[in-house]
Amino acid sequence: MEFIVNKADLARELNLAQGVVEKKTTILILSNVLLEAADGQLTVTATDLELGVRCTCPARVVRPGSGTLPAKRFLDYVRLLPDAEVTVKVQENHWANITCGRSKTRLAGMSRESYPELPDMPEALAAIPASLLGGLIARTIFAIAMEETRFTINGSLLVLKPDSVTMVSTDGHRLAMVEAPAELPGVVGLYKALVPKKAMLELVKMISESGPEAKIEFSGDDNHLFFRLGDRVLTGRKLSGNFPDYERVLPKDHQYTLTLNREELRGSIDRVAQFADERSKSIRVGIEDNELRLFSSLSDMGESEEVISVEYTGAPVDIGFNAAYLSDFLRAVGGTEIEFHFRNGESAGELRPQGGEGLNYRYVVMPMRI
Amino acid sequence: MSPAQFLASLKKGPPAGCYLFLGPEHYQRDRCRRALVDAVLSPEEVEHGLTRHDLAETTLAAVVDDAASFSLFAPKRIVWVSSTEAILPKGRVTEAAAAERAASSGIEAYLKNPVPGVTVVFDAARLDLDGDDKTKAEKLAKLFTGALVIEFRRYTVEEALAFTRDQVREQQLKLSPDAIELLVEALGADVACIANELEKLRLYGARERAMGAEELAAMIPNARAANVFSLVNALARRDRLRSIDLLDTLVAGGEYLPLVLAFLGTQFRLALAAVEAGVTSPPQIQAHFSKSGTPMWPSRAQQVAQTIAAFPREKLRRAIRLVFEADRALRDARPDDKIVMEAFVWNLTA
Repeated sequence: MEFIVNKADLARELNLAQGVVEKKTTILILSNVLLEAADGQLTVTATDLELGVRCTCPARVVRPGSGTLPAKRFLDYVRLLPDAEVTVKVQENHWANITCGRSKTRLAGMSRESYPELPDMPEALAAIPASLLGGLIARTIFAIAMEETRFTINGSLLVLKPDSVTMVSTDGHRLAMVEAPAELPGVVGLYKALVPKKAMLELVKMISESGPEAKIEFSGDDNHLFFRLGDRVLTGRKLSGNFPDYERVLPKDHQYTLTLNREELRGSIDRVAQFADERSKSIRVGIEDNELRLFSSLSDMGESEEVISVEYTGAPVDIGFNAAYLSDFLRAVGGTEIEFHFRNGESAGELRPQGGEGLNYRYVVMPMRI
Repeated sequence: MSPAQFLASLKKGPPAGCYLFLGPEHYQRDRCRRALVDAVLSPEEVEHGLTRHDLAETTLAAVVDDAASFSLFAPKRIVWVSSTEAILPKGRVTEAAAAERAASSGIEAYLKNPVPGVTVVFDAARLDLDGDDKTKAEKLAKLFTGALVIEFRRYTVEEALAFTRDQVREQQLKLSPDAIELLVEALGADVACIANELEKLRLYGARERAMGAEELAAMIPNARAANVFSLVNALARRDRLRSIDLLDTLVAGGEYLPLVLAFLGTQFRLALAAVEAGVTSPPQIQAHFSKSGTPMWPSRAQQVAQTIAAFPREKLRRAIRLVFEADRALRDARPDDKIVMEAFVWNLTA
């Protein structure tokens, strides 16, 4: 195989592939990217068996063929090359000669025979505006569970309906749900899939490089989910199991509602959290006589208190919250004002952007005992 | 609290907020775990109501935070925390260091005011309740003052035999007494393994027809699972046939034979030291070695006592010489380790 490719194109595609490549070297071939040159284009494929990406860029193909090269070393080297054309020639013994101007390098590759095949993408089920999907991911990804053992909540639930798309994440103590109107004529009834967190992170990367009008074609088979954006296809293994019944825990009504300035609340929480326990970030939220009082203390460090004026004349309420849970939402949500709905110190609290940003965005967070 | 008392308490009322499961025995631990889950969660609630943590991979503080945070999906929860012994500082355990670590995690505060509906179980299965681990186990229990401690002690050989006989009777299995003894010996009196093997035997048809020791050994390879300790026991009894049989299994299983010799060498030296000190019964032997700075489990003392009974003083000296010669022969260029070891067993049991 021999091809000539623009350095910037090659570096961009390799950079995308690098996020998917297996970091642990238990299966050596998975540390490599598969390069396939044919029909005037270079196809770069990377997979860790859970996630795969296939992307293409234009190339002058001197001799069609394929080979695999170590992803990290190849990318690190290509990044350092000057902006010029790069010639890559992979020999029968799997060694690659890389030439760019007066730079010449030999890099040891491996046979493509042992490289796993990625499944082909079936017919697209829906075309979702890339910016919309990116927004849904940004508003929910932070609530995904970190513990690997809880595999049904190690990703987000994607719900497609003919007229809407919904994404839901939870770690068992908080839940972020966002629903957006969308025209998805290909969807019949209801389509649900659990999208792994790593796939969502790669999607964000792909979307960040796309234009405002770009659309992501989505489809799925029994085991995989497919996202195509232009010449790039991301394949993820579906998470198995049942996502919890999230609709059951969305509060139907609230006893009290406060309207707060997002930036003011965020700033107050961040300052008070400096004196919260380093790991649990637990802060106390007291609401009484038109005041919302945030308080934290560390016996050997000091304490901090912030007071925000609110409209509240109900009974005094004292709630413990993980400050990080509140900050995560306040960083992800847009708009100036947010609504804080609550009942008491042992019931779920809910945060929503006031006016909704054109979305039905709800963030439910459980209190903690402090 | 014993496992039986724990099981009885679950029948009487709701579980406590926090338990410490301490000790290495798995059969009763598994029974208690299942009874607790059944008592707290319905089958539908298990998926979201049962949370697992491993203190070898996460911090005690993270566990406390998880327990202290109310759950969205499960009004009642069990937080199961394995590898609890990992929170003990490495090396010499000073009480102050361990207490400081526990205090900084917030566990003390949590135990004083646990979240209603949440049961936290700290599981320390790698700590023995006797011997070297005894002090560590006691210190761990102190760190969890406020938690109910359930002790899971290893079964003695006699208790394991009684357990096996009861199970055989309950399950109406037709196992001969020598088959029962073989099962207990081969499985090192581990009742969890014994219960598994009995289940397999029941499925195989041990209810319908009688089985003796030979048939048992032939039919269930797992029941023959030999280890270094069973070989030491067989040699200690000067049981040549069983020793050769066990050696065969060990070789087939790829056991590292110099390790076997190292165990045997220690065994014979301990036995000789005990003879020279004039102690012969297991309690005397255990007390003698513990006093001289070599803590010993009761089961080990029993092994040494068996060896003393089978090998008079002169034979013990000869046995140590044979171990030395076999060890040297294993290091020489030789056709096969097994031949060296068979010769060793033959000479030793002569």
